[in-house]
Amino acid sequence: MAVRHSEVLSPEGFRVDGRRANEARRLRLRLGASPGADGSAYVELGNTKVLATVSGPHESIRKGAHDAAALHVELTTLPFASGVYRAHGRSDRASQELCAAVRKSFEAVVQLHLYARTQIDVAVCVMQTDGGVRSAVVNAVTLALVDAGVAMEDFLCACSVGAVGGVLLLDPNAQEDQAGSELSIAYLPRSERISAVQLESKLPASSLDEVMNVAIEGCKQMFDIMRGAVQIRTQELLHSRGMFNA
Amino acid sequence: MASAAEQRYTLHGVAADLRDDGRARLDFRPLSLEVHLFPQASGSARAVAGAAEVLVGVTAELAAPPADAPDMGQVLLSIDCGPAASAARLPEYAAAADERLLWLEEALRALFSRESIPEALRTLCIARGTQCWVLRVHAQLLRLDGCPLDLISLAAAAALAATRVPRVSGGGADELGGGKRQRAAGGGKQDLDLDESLDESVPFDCSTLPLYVTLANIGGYAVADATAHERRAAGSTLSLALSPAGRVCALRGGGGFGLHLQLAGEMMQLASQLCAQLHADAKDAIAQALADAEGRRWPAGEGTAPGFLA
Repeated sequence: MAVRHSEVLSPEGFRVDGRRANEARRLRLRLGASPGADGSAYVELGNTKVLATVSGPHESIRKGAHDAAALHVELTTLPFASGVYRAHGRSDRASQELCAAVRKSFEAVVQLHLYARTQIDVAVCVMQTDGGVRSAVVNAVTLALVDAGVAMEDFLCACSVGAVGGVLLLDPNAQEDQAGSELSIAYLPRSERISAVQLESKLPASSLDEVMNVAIEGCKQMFDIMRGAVQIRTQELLHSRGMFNA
Repeated sequence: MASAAEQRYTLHGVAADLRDDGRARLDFRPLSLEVHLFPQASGSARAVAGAAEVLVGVTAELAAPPADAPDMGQVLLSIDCGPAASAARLPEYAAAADERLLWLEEALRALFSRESIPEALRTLCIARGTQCWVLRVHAQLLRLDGCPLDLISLAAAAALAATRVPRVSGGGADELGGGKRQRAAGGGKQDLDLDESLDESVPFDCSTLPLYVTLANIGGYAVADATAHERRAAGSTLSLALSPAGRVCALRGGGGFGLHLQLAGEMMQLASQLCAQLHADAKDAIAQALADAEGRRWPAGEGTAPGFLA
């Protein structure tokens, strides 16, 4: 179904929720949101809300590689996440795919060789979904791993771009998501590499470059906020031990 | 598993009426309660007590009432505890880890049955025999510690207290009121007008909801709100669900070598006294949580951040 330009952007250039085309929703973060866990992070991307907890590295229960840690990712989407009750089983295809993608991306970023014969468990709880779940999950897992003190090569920051009726919209919400195609990207900001990219539905090949650039700009914005949150958390921790006065 | 020395330490502490965290035998842990966390849910709450944390969300659906109770809506409960492995950390209600969740669900379903809250369920009925509200309550155990029954029943009560369902009027009713109206052709029998504006929505009456109190038998003493650590030293436990009017709605007990009849009687007495106290405290806590949500101008407010950001 074709969507007209005017349905996506008002004549003044505003989207349905009042943002401009290149504006992401408010990203709110909290490291250490779940006090009992080794590491945890809560991420709010507009109305999308995700909690990631990390336990480990601890002794491996399952038999894995002898020279590297095993990374396990489990994802739960709460039945009331979208507003309409939907029981998501553990074998839900979409969440399994997302789990596998997250694990694959992070296996390259986490320095697994430092934790031989151990395993790192990541549990993600998707509490509310309103577009950009993939990005919120990746960002939350990055921050939870940082909070757990797991060595990583780089941050992994994710952002999505929607192409609806010929307009590029940064960080589309669920409503915009359904109207057009969405490209989501996981980016390593310090080494300037793309870790994963996924495109849903079709997009003219000529505009791919532009879409990627917009997405990477979005990832860089996410990175700035995420780095800020990590710095604040680190200062809090130093402060609580009387090691830092600022 | 706790070592023999650790168990002895717990037993001696309980005997001296001074537990690990400084509580007396019948003290509860301080409770922190928040409501209205998620704008996309009809109602939501988060309860934290000690190291235990529960998140509850409510979604309202239109459905046909059950054939044997045509004038009642339904409250359906589901429970999950995150990663598959974490069910093993639940108290040993059943041998297999995944059966423990089922046990919990069964025990809590009794609270929302037709027998325990008939009046509240009747208010969920829209048109006798054709249309009613079904409130689907989901409790997610984010962190486990001690007595999940107690905390879930409390968090569910808070979430239901925060739940508002759209006001419904029969088809062809006058178009008074400013709210956005949506036509729902439900059940194919009757056209209904849903008033989606928040001012016009109807709160769920949760004044008769029962709450669970769990008492653990540790060395012959009844201990309220035991932590996971204490439960390992506990012989058996007794969970009693009482309505605010003092009627028993559900009872679960067992574990260890069983309860001596005399002790069981004493524990029931104690539990019913504690439950009355708990109902009073819960009512205050829920009222406070609702007022706090009002204070941050729910649902549009940009005030102090709730929930996990606080």
